[in-house]
Amino acid sequence: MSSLLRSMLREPLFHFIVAGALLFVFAQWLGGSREEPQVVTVDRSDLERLTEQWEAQYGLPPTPEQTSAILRNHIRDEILYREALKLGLDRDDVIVRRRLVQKFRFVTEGLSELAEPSEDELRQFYRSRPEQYAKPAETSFQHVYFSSEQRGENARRDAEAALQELKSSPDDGVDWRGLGDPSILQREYGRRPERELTELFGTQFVEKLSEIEPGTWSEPIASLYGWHVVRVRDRTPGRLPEFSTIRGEVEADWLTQRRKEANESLYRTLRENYEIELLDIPEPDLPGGAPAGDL
Amino acid sequence: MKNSNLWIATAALLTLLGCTSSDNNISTDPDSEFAQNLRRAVNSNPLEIDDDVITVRPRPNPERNAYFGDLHVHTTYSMDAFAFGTIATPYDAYRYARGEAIQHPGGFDMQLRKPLDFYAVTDHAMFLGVVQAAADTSTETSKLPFSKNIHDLNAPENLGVTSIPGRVQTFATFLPAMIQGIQDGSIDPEALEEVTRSAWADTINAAERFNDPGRFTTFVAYEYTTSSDDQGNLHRNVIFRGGDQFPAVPFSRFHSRNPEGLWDWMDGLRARGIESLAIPHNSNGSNGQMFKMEDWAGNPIDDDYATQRLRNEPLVEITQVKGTSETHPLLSQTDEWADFEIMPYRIASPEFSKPEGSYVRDALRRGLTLEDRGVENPYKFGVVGASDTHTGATSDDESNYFSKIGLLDATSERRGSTPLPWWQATLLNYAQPNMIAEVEGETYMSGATPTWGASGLAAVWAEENTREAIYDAFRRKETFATTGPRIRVRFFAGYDFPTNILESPDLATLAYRSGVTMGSDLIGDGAQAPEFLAWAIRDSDGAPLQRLQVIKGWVEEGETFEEVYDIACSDGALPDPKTHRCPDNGAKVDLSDCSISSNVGASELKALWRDPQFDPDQKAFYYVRVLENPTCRWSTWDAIRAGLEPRPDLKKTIQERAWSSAIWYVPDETGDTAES
Repeated sequence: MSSLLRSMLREPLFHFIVAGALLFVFAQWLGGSREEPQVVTVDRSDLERLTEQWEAQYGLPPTPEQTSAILRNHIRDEILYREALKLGLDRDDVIVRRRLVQKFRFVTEGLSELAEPSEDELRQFYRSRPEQYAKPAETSFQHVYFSSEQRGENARRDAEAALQELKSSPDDGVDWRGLGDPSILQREYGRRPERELTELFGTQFVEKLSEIEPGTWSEPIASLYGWHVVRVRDRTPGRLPEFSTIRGEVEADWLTQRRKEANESLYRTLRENYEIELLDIPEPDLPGGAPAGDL
Repeated sequence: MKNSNLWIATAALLTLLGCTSSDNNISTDPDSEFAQNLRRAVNSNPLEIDDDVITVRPRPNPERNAYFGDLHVHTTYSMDAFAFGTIATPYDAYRYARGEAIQHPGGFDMQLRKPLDFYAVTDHAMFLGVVQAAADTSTETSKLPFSKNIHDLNAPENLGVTSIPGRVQTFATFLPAMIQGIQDGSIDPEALEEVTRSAWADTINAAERFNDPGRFTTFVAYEYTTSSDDQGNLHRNVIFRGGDQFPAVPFSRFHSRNPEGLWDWMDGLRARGIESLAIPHNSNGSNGQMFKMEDWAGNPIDDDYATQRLRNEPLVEITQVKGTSETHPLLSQTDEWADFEIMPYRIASPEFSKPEGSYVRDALRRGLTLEDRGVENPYKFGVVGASDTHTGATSDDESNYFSKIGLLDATSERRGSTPLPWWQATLLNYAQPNMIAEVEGETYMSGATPTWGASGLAAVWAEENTREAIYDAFRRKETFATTGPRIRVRFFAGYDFPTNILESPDLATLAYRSGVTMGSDLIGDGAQAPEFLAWAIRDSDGAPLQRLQVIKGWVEEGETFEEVYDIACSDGALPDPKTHRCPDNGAKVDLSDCSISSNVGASELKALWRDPQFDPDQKAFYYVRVLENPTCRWSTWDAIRAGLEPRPDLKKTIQERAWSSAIWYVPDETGDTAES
């Protein structure tokens, strides 16, 4: 080999040019030239998919004639689609944009579903979220009502008197249902959560109710309607159901959480590649005084 | 590796990546597969509750409990709601009713203070789902010429105030254009019906999914939207009792503009085991058409018409956002509380609506007139309240009022309670001049919107919270209406209530046993005068009650009359025996912050009352009205929050109220006893 050639062969620039040329050819082979006819490929899996869709819609497999029509339509769609992209019809169309975002989300969510939670992971998840799975405390109670409207100042005193009557008589000797005033609200409630009782009787009543020991008639407590002598029958404390009974729900929540986290972290990664420029608009108020760069 | 090789390798890699053609990666994943997957994902969560976890279903109460709900809710499937920017689905609506927060098109969250007991999504059957399809530029519907101005109507960029004139325009022109198109054959009704079918199926699915017997009840329902030739409102909502069968397509204006056609359809369904009833609303905007003395063809009402109507329409909406239809000050000149949230226009029109024949009390009187003439009474209905929200969410709290038409009334300026900024005023002056008004130097949004209000709720007395129990209460007319607060009201009439029934803890049981309740007939007992028992308690979140009233209507020598009696007052006062009025209890509202008097008013009112002008030979109706102490109207809340003076020509305070269904007194020995 001549020394010129040899020195050329050693020259990094030469290597680079050759490599570039090779790559160019290689890329052309991959991507196809713009001048050559573009190829629409329909393979067996495509046809299978199209036939399945047809069946799903019409209930029967397509006849040979229908299959040709399916193919023809598919090819037509494909070509029009590619041409639409070339014309940039996918830009500036909100619906297309939304669909793409939706699809991106859907596709990337699909990735995170690969992980199957372990039993331990689920239990851990369940234990760390008592407020999500806990059933609220429920109270069952009866009450004798003394209306402020009817009795005015005496409502409380009358309630106390009724309490004495109830306490001094032997077990259910006095029918509590015969005492007090009529109540538009029920006189007996079974297993109601605090929220519901607050909506009915008001907060002060429910607060006092929670302090009453189950089993006996209590000192009168007030609501905005008057005074009540209450007997709590039963109080089911707020409880966390056994893991085994809600395993399905926990698993679903775990998956949702994982998905959310995966999406968030994917988005963060993508976000890092972008710079946000706000033109001619005021700095937005972000919570916690975060800088606008946090948008 | 030597540097140059590394260089080349990197260059190669980068070039490869850069040159990779996109052609091979085009997956022509058609929307349908994607949509299928999405649909699968959405529908994959069955509502299965472990026996272990379920809380015991509350026992039925033979004395019946009060349940509150809304039977008039529009979501994105309604042609107009979509145009107003609403994207809430029936699923969102039911979640809202159960207490969750959902989004208003204006961007803020809506959430009820207390969950409701029952809810029915009632989207317009006409064009159900169609506007949504027209806006979606990937559908066939969107290609129709007049769909163009709907394209991307609810795209995120188009949710601001500048979209409003366009939205109003859309609402005004789309409908007539669509109807025209169908009539002249340029629109294929089959294609539209496809859209409607699938939207209807989705509506049913949402209702079935959220129905939770014992705890929360949904009803499959829709709105039949029709009007008279002079744009008199004749809308009614159709509520299905439930079961395993529903019609495939709801009967709409396309099938018939005449409500009698709807009733024929409902009768037909009932014969096949599908039970339903219809509830007319906004009679106030009907220009006298809702409660005419003639049928659609103009013939005087006869027995057939009356029985068919009452069979299918046992209830009527007496209040909702678009005004209260109890009575009008011109019709009830001796009722000091008649001027309440009056909406004087026909629907979606600047024309005035004539009061006669447009109000419930008037209708009840007209019913008596018909009975007096020997005709069956079609206007013997019970009453409910509703919201008619078009955002999927009931707005019945004056202090948190977001009205009903989405973007069109999402802010106080658009609702007409605070002045419009100059540029909005100018824009609207150009686009829609009849929508603005100048008051004392300021320009406000005008027209119907400022006359609307935060109303109302439907309520029933039923043994338990299930479809069957609540629907049966509708049929019995054991219903009452409120303007938003959860006032509970009971009403009974009878001849021999036990003495001291008012003090008896068993009041309800005794009253049911020895009398009849709201919605019923009280048959005459010779010359005996009945007693009426009324009982109400306030909403724990609402204002104290001011008074209980009985409103009576009767017919005497061919003419009808009405009278309002106060029967119970707060703070130990008694009604004046001559004027039948309680003294003013002095309840006030502080207009600087909307706080109210805390030391006057009642938490509970009840009374036993006899009619001082009772005549055993006169047909009559009686119903209860309960008034709260005055509170701020929503327009005042808006103004205060904006730091402005309330708009001078709007009422600053209102008295929230509830109405029971009537009890009809039927004199002895009357041939044509109108039975419900």
